[in-house]
Amino acid sequence: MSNGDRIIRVNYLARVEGEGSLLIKLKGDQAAEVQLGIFEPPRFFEAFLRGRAHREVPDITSRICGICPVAYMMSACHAMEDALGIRVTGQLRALRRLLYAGEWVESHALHVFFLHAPDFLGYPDGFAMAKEHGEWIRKGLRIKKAGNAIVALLGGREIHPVNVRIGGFYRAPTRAELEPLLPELRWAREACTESLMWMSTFSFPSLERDYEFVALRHDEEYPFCEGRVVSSKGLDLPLCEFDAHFEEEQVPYSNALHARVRERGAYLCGPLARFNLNFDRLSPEIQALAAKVGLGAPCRNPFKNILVRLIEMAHAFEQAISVIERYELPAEPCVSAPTRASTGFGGTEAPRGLLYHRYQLDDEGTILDAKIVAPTSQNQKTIEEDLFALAPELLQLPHEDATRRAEQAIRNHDPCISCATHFLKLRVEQA
Amino acid sequence: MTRATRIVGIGQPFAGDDGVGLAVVNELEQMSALVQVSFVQVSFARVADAMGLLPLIESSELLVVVDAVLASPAGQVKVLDVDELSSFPSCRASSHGFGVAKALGLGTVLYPAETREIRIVAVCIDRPRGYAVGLSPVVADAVRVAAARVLSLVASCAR
Repeated sequence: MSNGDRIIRVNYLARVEGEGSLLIKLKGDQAAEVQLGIFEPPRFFEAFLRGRAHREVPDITSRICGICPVAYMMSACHAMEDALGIRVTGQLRALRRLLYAGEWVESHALHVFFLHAPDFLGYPDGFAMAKEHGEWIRKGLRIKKAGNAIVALLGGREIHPVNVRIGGFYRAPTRAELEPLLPELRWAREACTESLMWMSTFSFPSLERDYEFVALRHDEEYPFCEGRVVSSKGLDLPLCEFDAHFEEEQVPYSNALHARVRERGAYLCGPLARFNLNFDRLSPEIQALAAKVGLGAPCRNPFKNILVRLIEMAHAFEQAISVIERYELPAEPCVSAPTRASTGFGGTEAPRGLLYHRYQLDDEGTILDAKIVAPTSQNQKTIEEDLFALAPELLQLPHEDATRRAEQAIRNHDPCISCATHFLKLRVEQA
Repeated sequence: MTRATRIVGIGQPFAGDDGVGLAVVNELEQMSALVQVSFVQVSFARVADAMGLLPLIESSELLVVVDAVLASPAGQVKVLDVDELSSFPSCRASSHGFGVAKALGLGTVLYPAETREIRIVAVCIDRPRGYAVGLSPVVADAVRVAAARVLSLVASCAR
């Protein structure tokens, strides 16, 4: 390159399932090219699900992720139930919401307190932050533990639960088993408020973008497991039409597919999208909590994701408390139905965003075809566009500050790569 | 005075020698009569994820963590403190958790008053190659050695 153009190259973006890199080519004060290269090894889940029994799919797909296995299980269960004509209602449905709330807390708490907050406070990582802000790290870990306790009780263990099945659970807990969770859940709900108040005082970069937000929307509830797919630019469709409006494309520098809205391009799913598209589905108390820190819909600043995750944690605890207080042991732990040849669609709101599953079954329930679209894949193109938008600011910053700001921008969306971007090595080349 | 001593095995039983920490705790449980040194209250725990160490740190005066480390020669047993453990290869902090050295380091920062001492009994292993149940002969031979080192630590702490 010439005339003072610059290349910002991050050679090593470690991510949970693999590794990635970042390349920003700057021409003048604009970005000419941004590549978030993910060289995570292919995992072939969709291929090796073919030929497996439909009842195995929730447990197999849960292994895709160690932080959001419940989301994979639930999307798989909903897809199978859609294929088999099963409806899960009443207390079984409530228990699923409880389990999902636990997973949101597990995931969000670790990200907010340990991985993202250090960015705003100028620490290289959570360990350094703990030395001066130990009380907040302790609080965050205790909040996370409350989420873990939900998943462990309902799922049989904290990670990769074993008690989830198509149609419900292998065993439903008794009220006496659930009630001891309540004191800690009530404490955690308040701890989220305190944490939100504190983190709302952080300094937030001023970036705002006109995202197309995509999330599920339910008739009455802030979405966990059900709803139509809606977007801030007019999409409103049932899950079975997802493939007609969204596509994944391969890019030469990344092993992860990039998802896009067929008609328009990049979109954003995850907490910010859920919040903006479902703000009216939050309880008046949670809406008031958001208003207290100046958060309302639409919020287009990706750096405020950290606050939205705290709002979602408060909501999750509110839901969990409500489910347990109203809980009655269901007559059966699950609903079953005979297999049949059909295609089923399932979509749930994983901590990082919409998780879409589609399965084609034969008449014995054997998987003929599977498709899984994960939130990280859906947000990659948007993350690149965030970095495009941020490029002029990066140019003005010293090398180390530019590196940190690029990492922070990636971590806003908590992709599986976000965790390791603290270990980025940024190279700036003067052409 | 009763001192809370916790012996924690950490590892993955389906990754061959990585499960040696769990095997050592199993061995010690079978020897529990020997472990109950008069005024030392000993309990055992097993964790698969280093994050699981944090609540144990909070509630122990002496925490002995038994774990595999990637080092040569396989089967050698070392007694380390937290700083020394940091020099061995470990996973990075991530949204999926973090390594034993990081977790123990964090625990000592977060709960400085609660934990008087943390020691690691480390068994050297070669990098596991994938799914495997059971220990290699050389690492299996190290189980009793490691258990003896744990007992020695507990006894010296009790004095």
